[in-house]
Amino acid sequence: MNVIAPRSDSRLHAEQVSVNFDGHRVLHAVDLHLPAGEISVFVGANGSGKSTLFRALARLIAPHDGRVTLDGQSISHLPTRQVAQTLALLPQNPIAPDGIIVADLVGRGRYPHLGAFGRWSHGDDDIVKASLDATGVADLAQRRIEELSGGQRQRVWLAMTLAQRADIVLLDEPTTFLDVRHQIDTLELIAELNRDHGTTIGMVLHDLNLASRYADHLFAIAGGRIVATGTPEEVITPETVKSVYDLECIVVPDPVTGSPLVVPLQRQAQRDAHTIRQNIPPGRDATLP
Amino acid sequence: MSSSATLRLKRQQRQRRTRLVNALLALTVCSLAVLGLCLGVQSLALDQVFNILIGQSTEQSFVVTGLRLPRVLTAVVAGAAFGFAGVTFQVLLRNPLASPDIIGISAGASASAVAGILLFGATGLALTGLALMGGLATAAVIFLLSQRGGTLGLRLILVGIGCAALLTAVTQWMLARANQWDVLAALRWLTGSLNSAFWPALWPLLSGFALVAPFLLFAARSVPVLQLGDDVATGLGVRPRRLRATLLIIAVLLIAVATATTGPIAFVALLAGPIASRLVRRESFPLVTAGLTGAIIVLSADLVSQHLAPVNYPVGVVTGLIGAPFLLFLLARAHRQGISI
Amino acid sequence: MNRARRFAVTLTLSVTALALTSVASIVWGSRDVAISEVITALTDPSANGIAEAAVRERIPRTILGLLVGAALGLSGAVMQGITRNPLADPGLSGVNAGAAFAVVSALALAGTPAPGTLMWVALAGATLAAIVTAVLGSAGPGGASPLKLALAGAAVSAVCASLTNAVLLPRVDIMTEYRFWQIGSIGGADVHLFAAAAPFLIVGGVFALSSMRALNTLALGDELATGVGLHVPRARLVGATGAVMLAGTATALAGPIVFVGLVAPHVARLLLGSDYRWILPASVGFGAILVVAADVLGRILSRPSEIEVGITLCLIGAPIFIAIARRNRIAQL
Repeated sequence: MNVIAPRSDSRLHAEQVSVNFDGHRVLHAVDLHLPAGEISVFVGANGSGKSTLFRALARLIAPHDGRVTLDGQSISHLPTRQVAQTLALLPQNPIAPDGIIVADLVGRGRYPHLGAFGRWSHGDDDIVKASLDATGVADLAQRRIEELSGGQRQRVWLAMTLAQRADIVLLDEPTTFLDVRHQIDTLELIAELNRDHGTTIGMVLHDLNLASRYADHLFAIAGGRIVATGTPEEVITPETVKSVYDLECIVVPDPVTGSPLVVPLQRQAQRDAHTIRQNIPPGRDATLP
Repeated sequence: MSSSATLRLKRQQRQRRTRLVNALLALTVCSLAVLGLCLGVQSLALDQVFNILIGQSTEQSFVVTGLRLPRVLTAVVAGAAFGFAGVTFQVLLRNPLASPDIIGISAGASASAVAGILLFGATGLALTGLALMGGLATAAVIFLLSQRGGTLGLRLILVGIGCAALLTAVTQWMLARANQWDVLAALRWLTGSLNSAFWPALWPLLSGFALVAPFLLFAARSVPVLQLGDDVATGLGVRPRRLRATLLIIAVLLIAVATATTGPIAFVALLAGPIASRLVRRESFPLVTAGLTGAIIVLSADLVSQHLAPVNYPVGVVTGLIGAPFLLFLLARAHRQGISI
Repeated sequence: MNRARRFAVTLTLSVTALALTSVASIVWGSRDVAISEVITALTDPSANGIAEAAVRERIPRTILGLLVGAALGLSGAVMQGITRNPLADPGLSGVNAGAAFAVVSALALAGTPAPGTLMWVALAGATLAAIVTAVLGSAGPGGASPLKLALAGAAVSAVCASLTNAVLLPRVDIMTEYRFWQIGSIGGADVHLFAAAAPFLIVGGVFALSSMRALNTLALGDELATGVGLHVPRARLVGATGAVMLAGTATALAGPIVFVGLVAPHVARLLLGSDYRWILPASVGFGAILVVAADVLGRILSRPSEIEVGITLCLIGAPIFIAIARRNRIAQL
């Protein structure tokens, strides 16, 4: 399943990308086309290589073999500021300097668009304001980051990413450390960004069910390879979940959205999974015995 | 509620405050410099000094242009170089105490200069060159030893402290071997002094500063982005490693050339940054403010040591005496609030 | 090899090494003496040749080296234990600079005091500096970390050094006296000093050794240590008191000596594992061996003069410090 049909409207590609860590190959010649204008989500177990793939796409690490291209040009050869005007990214644990206020932090997202001497224009203020509004943190503009809650902080970082005004946004687990409400808030915000501006989104998510609900396109990664790709309906099946996470589950339709919902079996059932699977009909309409 | 206009207003207020503070500091530098030109064994009036500076030749011409002017210039430029270098290190290594005098670069320059004084009787330009090479070589060694994956800051500081201890031991060993008068010269150099600030010794400092400082001022605009961490900085279009290396190399050059000229004037590099960041609260990389602060510290300490102190101390003793309590205060505060400058 | 056997082997080897270095310290120097001459010097008080004089001068020197090394090794092991900081070293904690400042002040104020007085002064200065460093280095969230303590030590040293300069520079007269004091040396051993120092060393040693078990518990982290019933602040206070007394006395006896307290416990840990019931006694022995061996080395390397032991130790210790700092996990012990 490593070969995906090239899509003409995709701008960010991985071509035969391999990455080594300490002499171990953690990504094996991965080919990938990030679908334009869609939300793509990378899922996989811990240590599957999904974060590595993300970091390679985001040019945070250089692949040992193969290359990542943006609009057909190798991303490592393009001027990095030029890339930043098209491709924004939000890593997992961004650092906020002490005492920085929200407006200042969000304003730093304008960096790739400022001139050589960092001269600031009225247009930049407008974009910062729009980003603050879009993420609902305009009221906090003059507050210091350390006064904010975890959920508010994540919104501020998203606002900074928005201020970059890039067509492609990559996010590494944007919902970690957030409670369930803020997870949903954050993902709704990202979906809105995609819907309203046609922004291409690529993100890593841990939670399969959230991934399935918000993704247009899923990449399932295991052992440093893409093992399944397609719509959530195509990817999220008991068989794929078993091969990616080594977890026995059944898949039911999400009562709210209808997207596939993974329901893991209990441990005893995990042990007897084989038997259970023979006892219940496989597929989406399965129910717990 | 904040509209785009209020955002703009707040931002401009912030910039205005920074500009105002910088202007006031620059004014202070100028007045202290003028004071330095006027005061002396033979104090001159303002108009006399002015006339001499615009080229009128009087009896006091030599005192002003040959003795006091180079001294004042050295104080200003070396102070600014210490301030620039100190704040750059502190911000990049994310630690208010990570200034070049704590992490071994000054110790390297010192060891090499003391070797020069004691072994070859080096003075003037030769001494400057030796100290410069010592500082640069030490910085290179520290950087190489701390390049090993992981966070740069922590390891660099610790390796630097280790190197500083080693070099200090070497310096002390040389001091213990030498005869008393050489030791006195070496010790004065080690304390940091402006007593040898004459024109010939000044040129390396002036030209080095003029050559390097503009690069630092230019690269400074990317530092706020770098402060968001390497990943975010990459996303915003900065090459973090390259930028950090550039900034640190420039800072090392500045500190080395300044130390080579005046000796390691205690605490200037260490204190200029934190003082500056207290003056302009919201500025994340107060480079210019720190440079001006450094100049003010050295200038005023020199005035105090020449005209107010009971003994004619080298300027480093005065900065040390002023700086010591402030450093302890800073340390206590930095640790209480988590580390930031 | 099981632990008991490994301990026995290490003990045998260390005692042998201790004996050998001690003998070397008496025999080798700017003028070597034969073993027979050593025996003559020890048994026949009337023998007054150069060799005998050398021996009689080297014996107190060796004893001083052993005492100072043992004190510093133990002090370093305890400091590393209570702060869980692999880079803790009494010499890097401002102790030396504090003692130096006190000594210089005393020289400037009181002319040339008796050597015994100078020791008290140095002890007071060292203690004060150590307390300031400990307070500054462990204040704030997260308690003491290697970085905070190292920086606090460096800063306190810098402060003391600049105060020392301020006192020293106008006073050429005390310069000579000071500049030999400020290099750690055991050359000028004086038997009368031992008597003055003994109570401090004994009390400090008892405090330090009594915190063995507490150190093992502290190694689990403060929270877990509290959980298993250790009074953490009290345990720290007892350990720190012992460590500072030992380091301060050693500095007062021999001048500033760095890195013994850093290196000795690391060698112990390398050979014996992480149990403080073994690390502490082993650090005593290794510290003693290290100082005497460094002193012998300094005498041999630059005959007919000598390199002071403080310098030699710094040249050996600083690279080891850097090597430890370069290891991947420096954050905790």
